Amino acid sequence: MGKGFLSYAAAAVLQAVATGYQYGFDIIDITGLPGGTVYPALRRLESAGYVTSKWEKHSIAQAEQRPPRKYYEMTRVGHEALAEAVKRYRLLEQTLLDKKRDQKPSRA
Amino acid sequence: MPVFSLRKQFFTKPHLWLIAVIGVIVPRRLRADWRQEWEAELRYRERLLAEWDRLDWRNKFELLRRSASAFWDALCLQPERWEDEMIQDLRFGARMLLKHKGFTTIATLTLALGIGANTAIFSVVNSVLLNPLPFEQADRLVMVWDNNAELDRRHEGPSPGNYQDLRNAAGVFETSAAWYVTARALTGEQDAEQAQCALVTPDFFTTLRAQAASGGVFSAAETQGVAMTLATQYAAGDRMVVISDALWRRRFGSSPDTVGRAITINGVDWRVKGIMPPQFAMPDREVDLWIPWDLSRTYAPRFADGPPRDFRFLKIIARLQPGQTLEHAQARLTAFSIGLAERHPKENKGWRLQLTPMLEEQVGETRPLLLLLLTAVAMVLLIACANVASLWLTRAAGRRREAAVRAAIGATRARLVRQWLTESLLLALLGGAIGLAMARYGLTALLSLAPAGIPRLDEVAIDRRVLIFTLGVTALTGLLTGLFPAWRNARTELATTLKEGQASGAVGGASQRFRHALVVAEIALALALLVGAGLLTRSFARLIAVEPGFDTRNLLTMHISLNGQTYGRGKSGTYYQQLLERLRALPGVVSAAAVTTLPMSSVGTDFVRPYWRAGEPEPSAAADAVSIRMATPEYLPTLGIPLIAGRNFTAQDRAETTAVIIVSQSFANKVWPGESAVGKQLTLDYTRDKYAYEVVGVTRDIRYYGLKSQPQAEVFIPHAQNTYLPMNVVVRTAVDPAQLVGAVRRVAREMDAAQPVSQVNTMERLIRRSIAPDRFALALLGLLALLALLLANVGIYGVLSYTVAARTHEIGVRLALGATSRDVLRLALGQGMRLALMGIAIGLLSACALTRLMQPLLFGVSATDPLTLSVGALSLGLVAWLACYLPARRATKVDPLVALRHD
Repeated sequence: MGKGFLSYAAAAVLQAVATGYQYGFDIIDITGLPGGTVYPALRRLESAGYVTSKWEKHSIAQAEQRPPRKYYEMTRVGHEALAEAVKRYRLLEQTLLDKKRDQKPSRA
Repeated sequence: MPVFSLRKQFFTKPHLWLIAVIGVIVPRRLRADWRQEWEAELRYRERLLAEWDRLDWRNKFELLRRSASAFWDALCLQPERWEDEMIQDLRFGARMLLKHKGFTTIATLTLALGIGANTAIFSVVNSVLLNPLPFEQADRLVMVWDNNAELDRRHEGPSPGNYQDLRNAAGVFETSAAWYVTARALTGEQDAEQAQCALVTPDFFTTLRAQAASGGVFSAAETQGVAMTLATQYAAGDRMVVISDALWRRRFGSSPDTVGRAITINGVDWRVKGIMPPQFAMPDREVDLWIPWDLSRTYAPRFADGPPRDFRFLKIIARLQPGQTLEHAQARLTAFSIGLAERHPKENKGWRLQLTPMLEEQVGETRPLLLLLLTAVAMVLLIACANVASLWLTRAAGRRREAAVRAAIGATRARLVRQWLTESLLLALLGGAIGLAMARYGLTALLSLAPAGIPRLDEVAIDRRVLIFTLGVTALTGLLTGLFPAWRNARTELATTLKEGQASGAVGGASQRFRHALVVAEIALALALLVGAGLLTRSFARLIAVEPGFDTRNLLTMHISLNGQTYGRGKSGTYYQQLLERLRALPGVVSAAAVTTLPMSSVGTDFVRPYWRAGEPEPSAAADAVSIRMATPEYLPTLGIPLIAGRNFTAQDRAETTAVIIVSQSFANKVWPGESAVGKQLTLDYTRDKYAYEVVGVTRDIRYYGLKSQPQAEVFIPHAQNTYLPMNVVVRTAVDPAQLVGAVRRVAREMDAAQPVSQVNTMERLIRRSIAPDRFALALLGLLALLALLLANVGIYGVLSYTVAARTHEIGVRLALGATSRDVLRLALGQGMRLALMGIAIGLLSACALTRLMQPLLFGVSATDPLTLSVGALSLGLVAWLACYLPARRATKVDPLVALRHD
């Protein structure tokens, strides 16, 4: 992705991360984008340095008898890139999300 | 993931099963993380749903759908896999190439030679044949010529009268212009010098759409009424001139205030209107001055009914109308010529104007040579590819175990092919890079050797198109050399190879056949090239053996173009008489003479005019014509042209005595067959008064227009009876003519410093120059043929050595069973020679197929000359025999004991 513009989808994903939707599936839910779009976008954002990814603690995962989940966090450049992208895609400005509340999944 | 759990998962948790399956196509490096991320999300979500008690079948289906979207995610990761493996392949390939330094060096150099030669020749082809001429919309520029099939006169310049009509005819061209090149003396503060000067009609620069670098060009309106005398000396009008960049540097020292200054041309001051940019070379690089020329004003005073229609000497350039095709313009021009012939049958019957695209006009003659060279270098590259492919094949045999091991630990066949192709492409790329560097320097050498006859060579450069070509050739080379070995390598039978242990003597059938095919192809290509070079050699030998008809040794030639103001009205006769006398007085000079046109030289004026036997009526339609030359009495003896009958001109043949001529032998036989021409009367339509000349002598035919030309019908008129301003002076010397250049120039300067001599040359140099393109073609093709021969023989030697080495065991058995070393020799030699003979047979056929390419370059030799073909085949056979003999002899030295212990 490097210097170029973020695509709309990538900007939306970045905005979701910034708003606190840190897990892949949560981002899929909130943006409504398919998994085949969200994950590649996350990878590209990560290689561009806009987000970083971490694995959650093993203890949590073990307690729930599943592998650790991966979550994404914004970086400083990520915030700058998002600000830039919001200027470009005015729709994102209008759909600025509230900080994430714990919520029930409406659907899967 | 173990198989059984996968199957169980398929029924219990299909979404997780799907992730496991899709994960297979994710690049191995990323696979574990990828699977974990998806699985963790899915299981987390599953648990959440279960907690909230919403894990119904609809949500389960939704989970499955979501996991299916992982497939698209995995697809997006595919390029990474390629990148990964490619880097792996590249790293491995580079390591292998570094490890086998000998192989790498030989293969790289072979390919570099081939690719370099192709790059160099293609960059010439690109600049000369493919790039458009440096004019705006140059594809619309054409030249116009006049042809007469009945009289067998072709490619002549249209006449001023006809051109005036053509220019006024609507709808044929957008614009057009005529020019005529002549020499002019530049005098003034600096030394006098002779400059080539183009008299151009007003639309010249408009038609070319050329702009001056500084100042301006002249427009049609400005040049109205600039007239010349018939001898193209200045007569009237506004005197302005456009000069070349070269003249500006040479004569004005690149002074910035040159525009507007005066330049003295033939004693008259002209104002410099503009300076052309350095790349402007129309009609050619020699031209230094462009002088406006109004055709109707020039001819008006002397010709009542307009400019003459039968003096065919103009060069015409025209710009097609926008959107008009060449065919369309030609059709209109043909219709126009038919009209001309109807209106003026006497001058124009049978004549048809013809268009040639300007690019074709400039480079058409060079095309056959360049295409031949391009074919030749392509063939050399193919041979180089065959050699390298053969080397790869040998390497492949040595690396079969490696391939088998790779296959055993899971490499797919595609992966093996890719690995191998990466290596061969890497090698080709290396060769291409070195080849490009070689081409860069080779091109400089090539251009310095190139004869002056090839146009546009100063534009040759390695540009983007050449780079793309080289890259393409390199990639193709990599594929050509690597594809078959790669395929062979990947097809390796795992079990057999691993069991066999070290690659042993088994010579695989398919690879061996392929290797043999390569040798046959190499020999065939080399023979085709060898035959080509042989044909050029024969042709060149014929060419230099041509008898020009006069003694070419110890002749010094030069051109003088006298100023009409000083030397008009017959005074030039006295000038040349005195000049020749002074030259004869120089030590080392045997004799000296002057003539309007010298043989083998392009400098001078040729008059081709109608004639008829005196007493017969003047022909009503366009008649046969003869070349007319003015010469001083010493001309024929100085050149050593023998008289066959009659007498030479003498000092007594003066303006007031009987008009006499000397005719060439073939002309005499044509006009008066079976009779002696001496004493006959001939009328020439040459001056305004057509009168009869008495034939006083007959000379032997000579080849005026170069060694390749046929003798022309010629008539000589004594210079004293028809004085002419520009003449060529020729001096026969007793010493090396080059030594006398300074003395001769000094004599001319002492006579009149304002009348400089130009084009000083020796006759031998003129002849050498005329055959320079042939020599160049021969040298290049000869070099390429040698290279091809060398490469092909290295190829056949390599393959045979390999075969012999591989058959050591078998030969050992044969020797042990009582075969003599003679038998073994015959066996090995026979195998090699069978391939060579097959190659020779195919090579002879392909040489015949290339006939069309060769024919335009040959002189006096047929492209299927049996002698050349058989000598080529024989010599190639001999060299191939040598290349086979060495490994075959090694086979006879096999010690049966050692060979049998081999396994």
